[in-house]
Amino acid sequence: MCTMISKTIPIKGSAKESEGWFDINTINISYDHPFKADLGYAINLDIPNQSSDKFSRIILELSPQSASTLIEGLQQVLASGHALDSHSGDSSQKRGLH
Amino acid sequence: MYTTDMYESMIAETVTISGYNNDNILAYFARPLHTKPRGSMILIHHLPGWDEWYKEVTRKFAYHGYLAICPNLYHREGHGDPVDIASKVRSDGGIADDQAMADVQGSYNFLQNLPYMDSKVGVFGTCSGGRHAFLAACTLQGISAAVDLWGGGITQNNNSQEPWYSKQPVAPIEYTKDLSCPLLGLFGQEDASPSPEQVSAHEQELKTHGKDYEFHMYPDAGHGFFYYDRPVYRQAQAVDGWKKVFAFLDKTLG
Repeated sequence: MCTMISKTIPIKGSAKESEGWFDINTINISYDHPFKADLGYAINLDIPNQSSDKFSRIILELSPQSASTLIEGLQQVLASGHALDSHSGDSSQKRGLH
Repeated sequence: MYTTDMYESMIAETVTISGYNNDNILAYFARPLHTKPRGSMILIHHLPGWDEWYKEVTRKFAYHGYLAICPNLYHREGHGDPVDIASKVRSDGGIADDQAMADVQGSYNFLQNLPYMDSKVGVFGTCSGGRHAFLAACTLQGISAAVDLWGGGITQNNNSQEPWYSKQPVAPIEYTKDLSCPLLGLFGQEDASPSPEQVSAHEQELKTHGKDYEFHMYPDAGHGFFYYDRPVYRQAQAVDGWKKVFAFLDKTLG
């Protein structure tokens, strides 16, 4: 851990690995050296399967530019989703998607 | 110097040592069998964990005539793929400096208890292990040489607002006055942690305290330029770097 830049964020959802789906409740984010990607530094996303005792997890290593692009894409899709919810009178809160 | 008519032999195996809190942890230990060891090395692995590269480097030191031991600093986190365990460790803010130093001390004690032990002990580490190697050279007794390869985080401590602040509460640079042995540092000019500016700050502190050190800053190299299994590998710099490592140990450990 060379940069000391990391953060753990509570989230809610599901993820899939080779052995099947698992519930996720945290994501660990760091700006640090990647394990695999051809980058000096990466935005590393670590999503652990906390119901497993086998250290199974999903790891993403993104270039900082890719991470920014992903954030923009997420915001655009979220905005569209919110607009759809308000138009239909439904909300993500009602469906528990928060 | 090696010649092709030499007989060579070594043994490399997993051993158990007593580390922090008297915990039994695994370590990888390699030693030459055909010759009296010329020195001993404790290898402190990097953030990616107790992985194949570090096992290879442990054997490399044995090939060069050293007793070499590499403790698994992530032993307490459980066992599995080194990357998965390392990712968990990073998410937890790394391991505590006190714990790492006690595990290095346990490795030192293991070496001292060997019936054929009769040599000086050095420490070697890369990435977070480079930081730990410097810490060991400043805070443990009996270390005769330290090799810090691109150790990040030497000039700063953890953000006190972070929950894992207590794991690394003191910036290693603050221990510089206590450095008890010669230090070799190899760094890449394109690295951001440690950046050239951070390396310069550390070098200034070493000068201020009149320490015996040797720093080399490689152009066209970033973080981890020895790692042949990663895109960051820089062949010419790595070959030269290894020569500097063994020349330094030849001078300091014999």
